[in-house]
Amino acid sequence: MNELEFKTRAYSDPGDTRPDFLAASQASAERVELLNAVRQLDAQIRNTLTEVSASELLAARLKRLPAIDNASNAVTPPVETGKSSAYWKTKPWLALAASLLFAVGLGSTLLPSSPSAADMAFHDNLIAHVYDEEPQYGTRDSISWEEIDQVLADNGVKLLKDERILSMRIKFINNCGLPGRGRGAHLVLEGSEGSFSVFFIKGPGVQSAFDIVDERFSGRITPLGEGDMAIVGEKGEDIGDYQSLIANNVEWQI
Amino acid sequence: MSDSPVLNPSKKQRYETLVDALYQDVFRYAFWLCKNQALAEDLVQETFLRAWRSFDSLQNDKAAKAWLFTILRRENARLYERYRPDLVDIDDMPLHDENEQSSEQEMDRGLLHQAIMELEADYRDPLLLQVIGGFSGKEIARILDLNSNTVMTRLFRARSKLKDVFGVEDPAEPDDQEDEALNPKEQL
Repeated sequence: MNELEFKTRAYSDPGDTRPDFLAASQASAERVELLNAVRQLDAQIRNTLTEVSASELLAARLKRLPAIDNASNAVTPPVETGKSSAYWKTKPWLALAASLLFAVGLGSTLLPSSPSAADMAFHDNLIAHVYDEEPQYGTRDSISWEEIDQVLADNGVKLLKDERILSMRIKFINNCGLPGRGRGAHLVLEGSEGSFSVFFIKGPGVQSAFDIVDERFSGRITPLGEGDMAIVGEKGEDIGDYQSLIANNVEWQI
Repeated sequence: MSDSPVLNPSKKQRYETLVDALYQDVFRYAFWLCKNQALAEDLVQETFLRAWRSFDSLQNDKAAKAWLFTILRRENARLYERYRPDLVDIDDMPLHDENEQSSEQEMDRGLLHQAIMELEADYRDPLLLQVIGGFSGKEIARILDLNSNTVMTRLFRARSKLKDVFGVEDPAEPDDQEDEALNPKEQL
């Protein structure tokens, strides 16, 4: 093995353990010195390349991917509107429009689009936020509708005064910072299983609706009009019911 | 709410074992490709998501690392190659216990870190695959879709460029013809 070949192989792969290379490395003191120097350099390179490390949460997030992906690919039943058939009989044009909307909605659920990595990161941040904020729920005696209006307006959204919503206990309202998405309105109401959160986040958001996956909570993140709406409640809560209720009473302010 | 189909437990367990075994190396490769911690984590997440979706196609777990690295390279090209912000600050990098390092060693490490950052992608990529991935020259050639001689030449040049940081003896430079003539029977 000539000098050029030896040097080239030493620099290309200083950890080469093939017999011809090892034998060649012992052919002269200069070669021994060169190989030692390159191996020392390589150790420094290795240390530098491996000193970066992922955050501790990354592995946990990666392990949750199958569950989130699985949930996002499941077929979601259409939202129950609560209107009787007699109602549609009196408004056939509305029935036609509803049928079209239903077909579009069904099509979108039968052709699932899985959440992107950014959507999943948003999912994780949202769940973490719910856990963080939970101690604040219900700590105030009452929250006025004016305050709710103001916080929602700050986030470009308006919630209509639906009778059923008005009858529910409002436990929390706040402008919240949501990593990766700026801020959003966080509203908490009393559900049948405990508190449930409603988030409104204006601006381009998730690619398509997908379910919340968590040991404790269930819910759904849904693109809605000018932004996203997310509902997060205790497992067992009828999230679909609240989703319909809120979605039917929301107006984005452009 | 939707009724989620039940995940196959053995498949999920196999996937989680793979995550535990490989996520740090995959992250390190992502980091040195895109030079940004947050983008790297996004890349890794996208990589494992795509891996999960085609997990049944992975017949041999020993091939998993090369498979993941290949997916990651494609994702990086697809998502981030056009957006390559210089956001990396060496001071922000997680380093080992500084008390264990002399100031001279820290300086060397900082210089080397910067030198690796500044390596042209053609030279850095095979070096990352060799050092972080532990791949052989043939495997690197397959991943990068290059011939083996080119890979070895690029590895040679990568280390040659980095040697200046530590003042290692200047090696002779193989030219293209030498690439082909370089030990053809025993490449890699």
